[in-house]
Amino acid sequence: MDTNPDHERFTRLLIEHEPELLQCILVAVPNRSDARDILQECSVSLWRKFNNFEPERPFVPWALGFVRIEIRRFLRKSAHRNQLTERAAVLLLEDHKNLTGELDHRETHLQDCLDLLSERQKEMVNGYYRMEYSVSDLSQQTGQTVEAVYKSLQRIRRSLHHCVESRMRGAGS
Amino acid sequence: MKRLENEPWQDLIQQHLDGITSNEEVKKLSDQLESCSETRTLYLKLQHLHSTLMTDEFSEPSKTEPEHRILKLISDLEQTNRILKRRRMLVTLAAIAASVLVILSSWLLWNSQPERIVEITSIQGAVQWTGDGGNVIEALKHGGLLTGGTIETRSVNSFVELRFRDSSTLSVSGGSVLTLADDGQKKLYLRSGILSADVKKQSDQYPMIVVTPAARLEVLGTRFDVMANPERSKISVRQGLVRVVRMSDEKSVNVASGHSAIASTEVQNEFLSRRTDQAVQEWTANLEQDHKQGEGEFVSAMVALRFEIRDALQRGEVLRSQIPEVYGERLATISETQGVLKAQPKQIRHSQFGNVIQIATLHVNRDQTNPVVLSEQSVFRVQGKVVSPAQIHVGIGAFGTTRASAGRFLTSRNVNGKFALEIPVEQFRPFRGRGDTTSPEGMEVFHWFCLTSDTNAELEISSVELKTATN
Repeated sequence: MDTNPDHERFTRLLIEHEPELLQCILVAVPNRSDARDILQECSVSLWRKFNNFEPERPFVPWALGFVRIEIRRFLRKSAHRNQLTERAAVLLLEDHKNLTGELDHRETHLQDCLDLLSERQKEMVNGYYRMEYSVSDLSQQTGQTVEAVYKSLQRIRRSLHHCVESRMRGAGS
Repeated sequence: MKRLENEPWQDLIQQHLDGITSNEEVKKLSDQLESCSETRTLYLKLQHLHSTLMTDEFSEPSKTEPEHRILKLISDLEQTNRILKRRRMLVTLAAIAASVLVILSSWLLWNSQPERIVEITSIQGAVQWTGDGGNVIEALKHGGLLTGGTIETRSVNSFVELRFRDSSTLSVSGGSVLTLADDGQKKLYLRSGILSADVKKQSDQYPMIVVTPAARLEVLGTRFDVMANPERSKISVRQGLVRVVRMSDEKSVNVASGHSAIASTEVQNEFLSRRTDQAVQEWTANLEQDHKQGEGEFVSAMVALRFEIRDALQRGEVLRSQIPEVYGERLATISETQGVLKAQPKQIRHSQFGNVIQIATLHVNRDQTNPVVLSEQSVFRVQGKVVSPAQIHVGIGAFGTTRASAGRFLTSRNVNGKFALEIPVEQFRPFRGRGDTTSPEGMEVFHWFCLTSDTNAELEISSVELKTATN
């Protein structure tokens, strides 16, 4: 059993804040597998520089500096693989930083909006996002064509987006 | 209106988030995101919807899998570093043990006699004091009295000067941590940073003791500066005599007025005191050797070119057979020592630069005792690159060879793309002195740094020189 206090502290901080870091990566790199690879690379850099981290200060802003570097490195390496341009990604990350408060509110409304979906729609959302089934898998399960499944998915997301938007406007008025 | 204009982008954004867009479509989306903030906001809202729907991913992370993965990662990294670190660790442990003994004994005595030992005679910026029972005070004021404890100048531009009852004075600046005690004998532990001291005559039996991770100083009455970090300490004496013991092997040297010495935890070379007037006025940075760990990453030109070739091959911009023709000349002319120093993120606090900066730092004349002294004609030549317009701040840390105290000096420039700057020394201004026009001429420079608060600038430095202007 490893008892190095630095290891323990680093592990605890990384586990606690991994979702926030992953969330930030997914803004620029939506593919979950790529995002996890970037997070892994980032974890290595963070651990190597952990002796420079001041424990009394917030971990996330420090770690996000490394996350941004790894994202740019990834985008540069994979410019041929249907990724956003580096410039677009950088602008999105900047805007994301300023939008965090609003996004938290949207999450609360989204939970209410999800309750308004039909059981069939909920199953589709659950299958696609939580079970990570592909559209093709869902097509086989439901007996619908791939196009029909994808269109349904698009409709569900659009209705959720509009529902959240109208609730945000209602909350703001 | 904006909402309607953005409607057509919704489907394309969703498709991109689903990973089913073509190269052309992603290019089109990127162009739109680069030019339209409303589309970026829409993208972020839809992306947030996606990630929130992956509830298991975000709100209920596996309790065991990430921990296991991270512990394995650490274990792998440790394994590769262990052999290299072992020797350094032994030396560091010895230094720490000695330091802790000194401080612990002082602390115990101080705890039994919690009398005030120093007065704050000057203070600026974020300074924190930790005293009896872990009591932490940040609201320190000029004229305040302190018992023994640890004083920390928490931001790069903070500074504090303290006066003992016998009128001996100490000052520490930017990012320094100093523990002090006085039970009839003054004992200081400078964990890191810059300390300047003007010490009145002390008793022969009870000299002032200054401990750093790499050295122990015995001081009877003198004026001196110490710069300390975990690996090395540099001691410059302006007046009197200081006995310096290197912690790693207990070798000692007497450093007299106008002399300096460097004690390192790693290098077991001759331990000498050198005359300050053996100073040099020119210096060319070796980016690979001189950069400070954690404040810059050296990337060799050869490695960078290999990546460039690999990426060009992957993108189909060149064929393997074309490499000699396209890259041959550059490959032939790159030397092993060429490369760039990339700035790295660093936390700072209570500063004009925000919470996180990108910084690259170089030790000046690392492991050379000949001091590099700035003259009226000194000019820093700095070459580098940023990927977007940014304000950069070029700074130096300097010892006061002819004036009272050490400090940091800074100057700012707006740059875009590749830059080549010539900065006369007179343009550097004290970091801690608002409106202070003192220049660092005549001072010994011990480190150089370049920072930006623009986290997207990707600041990199390709060369740093100190030259003497001929006209």
